[in-house]
Amino acid sequence: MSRPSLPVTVSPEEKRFLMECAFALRDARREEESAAVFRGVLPLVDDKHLPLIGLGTIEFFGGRFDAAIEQFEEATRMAPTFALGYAHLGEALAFARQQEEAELALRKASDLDPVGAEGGEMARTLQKFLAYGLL
Amino acid sequence: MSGIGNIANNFDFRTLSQPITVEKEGGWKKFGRILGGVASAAAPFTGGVLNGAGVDSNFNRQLELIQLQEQIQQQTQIINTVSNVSKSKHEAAMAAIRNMK
Repeated sequence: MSRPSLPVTVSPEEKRFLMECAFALRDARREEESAAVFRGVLPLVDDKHLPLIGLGTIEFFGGRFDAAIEQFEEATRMAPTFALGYAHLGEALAFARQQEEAELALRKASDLDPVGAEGGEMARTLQKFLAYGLL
Repeated sequence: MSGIGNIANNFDFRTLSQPITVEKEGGWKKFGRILGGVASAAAPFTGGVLNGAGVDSNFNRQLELIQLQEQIQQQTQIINTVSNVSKSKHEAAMAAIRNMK
């Protein structure tokens, strides 16, 4: 049974505010609250890959790399041309000791965002880490 | 952002996790010893102005400091790289939020 939708509209500014709150909570190490906000934002936004990436980073920071990979893979399925999703996926794969897959994901992110503002720079830095054997 | 701390927790920082240590033995140490020996040998002729053992220990201390400095520089470089990753992560996330629909 589907729940009736509330006659409430959430403006784009409010959605952005909620997303920023979720990231701020995550960075304050309040993972549970952060995850609750990310999950709450998920049905409200069209760009569902963003809260999914947020949820993935919470798993990643908690050291649950397989769960993080799942979230990031889902994010890349939803937005296959969004570099940041692949950059995060590459990082999580590297920590899960899946070096070849990590390199592929990071290369994809780097190719999708040659300028660097949407995850390409992050991917290139992580590629250097991999090349130096630090990951 | 606490990203640096988070990454530091997760990263396999072999170089960072190792304490800063100074190698005690090596080619330079030998060189220092030889130099000290030469200084000791020269001491009688220099009227005891140069103390051989003093030169040796001073040289080794200098060498240890240089090695320590190199390790600190290396670790600073790694921390800067981690910091850059965190920065680019944060900026990319915030840019995506700004363009969110």
